[in-house]
Amino acid sequence: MALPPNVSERDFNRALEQFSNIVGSEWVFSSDEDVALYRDAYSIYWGEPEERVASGAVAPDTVEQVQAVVRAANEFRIPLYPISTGRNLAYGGSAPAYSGSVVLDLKRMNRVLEVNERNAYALVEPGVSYFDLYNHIEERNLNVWIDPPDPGWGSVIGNALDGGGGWTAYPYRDHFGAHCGMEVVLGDGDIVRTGMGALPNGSTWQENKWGYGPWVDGLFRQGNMGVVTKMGFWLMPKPEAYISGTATVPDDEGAVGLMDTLNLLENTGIVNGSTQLGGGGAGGAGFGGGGWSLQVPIYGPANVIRAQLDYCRQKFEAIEGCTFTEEPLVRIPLSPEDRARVRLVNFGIPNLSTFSMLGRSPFQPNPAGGHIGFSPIVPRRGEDLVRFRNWYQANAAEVSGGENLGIIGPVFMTNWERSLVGLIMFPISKDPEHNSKIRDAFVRWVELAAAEGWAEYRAPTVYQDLIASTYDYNDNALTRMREKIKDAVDPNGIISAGRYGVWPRHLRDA
Amino acid sequence: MPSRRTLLQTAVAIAGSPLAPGVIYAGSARAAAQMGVLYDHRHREARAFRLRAAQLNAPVHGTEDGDITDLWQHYFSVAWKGEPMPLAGLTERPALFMLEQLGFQHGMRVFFQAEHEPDGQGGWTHTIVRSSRPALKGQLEAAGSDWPAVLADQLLTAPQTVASKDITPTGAAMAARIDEPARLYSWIIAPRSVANHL
Repeated sequence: MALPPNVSERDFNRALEQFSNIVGSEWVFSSDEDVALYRDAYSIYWGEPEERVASGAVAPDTVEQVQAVVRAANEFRIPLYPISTGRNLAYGGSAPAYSGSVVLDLKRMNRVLEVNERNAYALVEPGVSYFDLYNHIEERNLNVWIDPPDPGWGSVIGNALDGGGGWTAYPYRDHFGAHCGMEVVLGDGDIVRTGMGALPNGSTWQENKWGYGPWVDGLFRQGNMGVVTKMGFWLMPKPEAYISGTATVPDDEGAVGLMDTLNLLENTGIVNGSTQLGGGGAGGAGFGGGGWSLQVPIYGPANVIRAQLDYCRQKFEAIEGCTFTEEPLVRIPLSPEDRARVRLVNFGIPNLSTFSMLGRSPFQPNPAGGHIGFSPIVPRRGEDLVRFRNWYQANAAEVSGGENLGIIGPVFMTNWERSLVGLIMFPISKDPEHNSKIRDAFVRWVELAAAEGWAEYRAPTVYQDLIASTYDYNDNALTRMREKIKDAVDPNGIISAGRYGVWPRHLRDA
Repeated sequence: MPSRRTLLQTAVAIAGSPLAPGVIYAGSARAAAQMGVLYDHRHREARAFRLRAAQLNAPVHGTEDGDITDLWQHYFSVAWKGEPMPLAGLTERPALFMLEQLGFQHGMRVFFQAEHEPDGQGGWTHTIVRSSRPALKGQLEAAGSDWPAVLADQLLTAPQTVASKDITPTGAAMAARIDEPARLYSWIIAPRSVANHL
């Protein structure tokens, strides 16, 4: 049996006994066989001493049990690592950021507490997956959509808290941005409700994000200030139809107009779907092409979105050399024929198809499966798009030591509004030698990007310190402020030590 | 509603309710009828596995593209919420990974795993990764091109003889190497309580 760091076997056993008293012994896990279930399936240190592993797990069923577990953990100084469903693969999965932590597994808290069709919101517990929420809505034939990521087996709350996103309309596909109100058990076992949830007997918890006074919800995004036990989300009323068009420019010069026009169309609300950028010789679309293409999807009433797409055509065709093609309008609910051909996540339907397709190509018919990504945020301007691609191509050979490590990049993501993501994908396997080279390459890309003013928005646990160190304005003032807050709300440093580069006092000094 | 794209429902209906795990592992043709089977329609060998499984009256499910979403949503997740039915398969690696992960929360574990790789000369090599009976490798080799049927016989009618006591996670999320050749994976996923009967 592994032990949490700096905890005696006697104290650990007493803590496990207390956990058992709180949740029932069948929901406390400490055998090697059970703890192994919490390994990170995509660990870049798979099977190596540095792999982040848990010492045990405890699975409460209620918020009162969460509070009691947190208080018991405080008594014995047991580090806890809360997970919702633990499926954020490529970002650490269910394995803790701080090896030896006890996983606080919230899967049993899987109740859909409310779906309000009239005001289009949901209130859920952490163990509710996108499949669960989708099924709940479909079984009741409610007129709202969820926004699932790809894949959809993860937790609605977990994905939002990790900074995840989806593929339908804005603002719903920004999962943290679309949340409204949360309930949190702090590191000392106290419980708070944010926004309008702090108003006893109020009924607008899921209708107004801000409430009164300083807004604290952001502390729990990629945070370790507490355990989120409920969270509200705004949902999109089911749209009547979907339409999309694709603008294509022949060269890098055209990319400037392409991005400026996209920004205009999104910032004025004409385009609301998750756009897709390809070409330009970027890795995501093959290295051959010289031109750029941009798909712009729109959700809404059929006659309205046809007019919006006409406006898009008019704007894009004003760019020199740009052509614009339209795809057929898709009615919702989907016909069986449409369902078989569309990308389901764009229509609010969760699925797992990404596992059987990701990385598969004529050149790689049998992808390794494991991967991590480096996803720096890049200004959404054509000049910066081209600059990032050229920077990647100029450095790729040197970073990989002249070898083909299977790294793919850059894949430009336009699904976040206002900025681009220049994704670089790193394949990982169970081969320590290859993984070691990938680790070297990852670190090098982070350093090179930081020198250009580009940094990651979300990271695997093993690189959260590294990425945090690039946000070092004024002698790491932002990290220092977070540490002060951490010390105040979690004085014993119980919750998710080290998550996103925020360490409790006793581990900072160690 | 399952779609044609991802679901080939070629099931043979089974009579009665599932047996307790210990009974399932008693080993017989009857056992086969109490085990679900998943095959990957893209592979000839998996289709041969399916054919033999159907002859043994096992309920058979297929995937056309490796995506198990519809099967999970409409069959396995429903069945596993009640009395989890053991499932045997011949698929690509991702299907094993997905079902193993999804099965954890229903108390399901992988009791058998083998890998099957074309040898480039029309034959196959077999690696028994997790089994109490490594000699199965020789049986599969001796069967030549009929190995999928022999495998189905072993996994479906005598699962207790091939199941391992090792039920730790298989790590099927990732290949052993990034340039690993295409392989088929055979496996048995069953309720953890089965271990008590081995």
